[in-house]
Amino acid sequence: MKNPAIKKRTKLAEEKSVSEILILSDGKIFAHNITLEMAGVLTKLNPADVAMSRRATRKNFKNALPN
Amino acid sequence: MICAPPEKILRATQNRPALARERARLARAALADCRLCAHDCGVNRLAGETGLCHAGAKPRFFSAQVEVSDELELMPTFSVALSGCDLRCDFCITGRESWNARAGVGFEASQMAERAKLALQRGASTIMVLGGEPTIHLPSALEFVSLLPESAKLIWKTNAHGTAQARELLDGMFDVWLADFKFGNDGCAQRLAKVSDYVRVVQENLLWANEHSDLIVRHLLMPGHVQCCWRPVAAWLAANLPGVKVNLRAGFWPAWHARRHAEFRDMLSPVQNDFAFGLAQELGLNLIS
Repeated sequence: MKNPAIKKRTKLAEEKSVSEILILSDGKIFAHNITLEMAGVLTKLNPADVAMSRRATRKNFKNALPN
Repeated sequence: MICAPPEKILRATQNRPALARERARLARAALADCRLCAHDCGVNRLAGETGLCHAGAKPRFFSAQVEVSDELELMPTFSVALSGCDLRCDFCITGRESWNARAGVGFEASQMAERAKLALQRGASTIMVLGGEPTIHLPSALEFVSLLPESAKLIWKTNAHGTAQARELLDGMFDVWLADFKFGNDGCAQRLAKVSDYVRVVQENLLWANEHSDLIVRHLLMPGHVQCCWRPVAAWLAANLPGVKVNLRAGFWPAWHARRHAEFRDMLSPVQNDFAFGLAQELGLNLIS
């Protein structure tokens, strides 16, 4: 029999997260509701963006769950 | 002997969960003659009537996730966005859900509190309640607070359009008020967000929030509104809330119904952007990111 606590946590973790981005024709990128994962993607797109890099590498956070 | 002035109490009230439970009960009763926001509709939401926000007695939410897009000092935050709002900002980035109180899924405070606590265990620094506009869902927001650990740092992200009644119910419940000051004059507020008497109401809320919690004021720079909106907002903040944390945001994008307004067909220009930040510097505002 499954542990109810594990089942409950799995259900919580299954919730989906959403970020939105807008890329303009000149290459500018706007984003909101940025998750840790999205911050990682944005940092890869523009490694020079120090502010985003700080968000992507926020320490002491295990992962973006639960979402 | 010279005594230093007492430091502002930034921590929310002790025994917050119990107090929040009582406040939630009072807030629920207040829905029978709803005057939580400054539209002051006076409708009986418990009986199914709705005011300008179209919100019923039971809230829904459209997002609940850990985010890193807010102020650095607040993130990572577990962010809960309740559907519906009392303003009608044509440029709202979450317009579909903010204009529709029926968007999303039903909000159950106990379930959401479990998710929030798990996020805290995994390293989230704060829990943020927002919308839409959370003030219109005060009973459930307070119920949610009552189920959270007393030590959790709680953020109230608001359009600052609440009434004295709402503020009284919120007193001591949130550690930080993250409040928008969107428009610098009532004309722009009426045209872009269909709200009257905006400036007075927001200023009243900001002054109160500064006395009762930590306060961060946000202003989103809008194309064509640097002189008419940002300049008076900046001047007022400098004169009335010196030293308050201000997050001047330059990431406007033409969302939702923004294109109804000619000035929003363009993005914010570098000239407007530079002028806005220069003005903040000139006025000595305490800008944060």
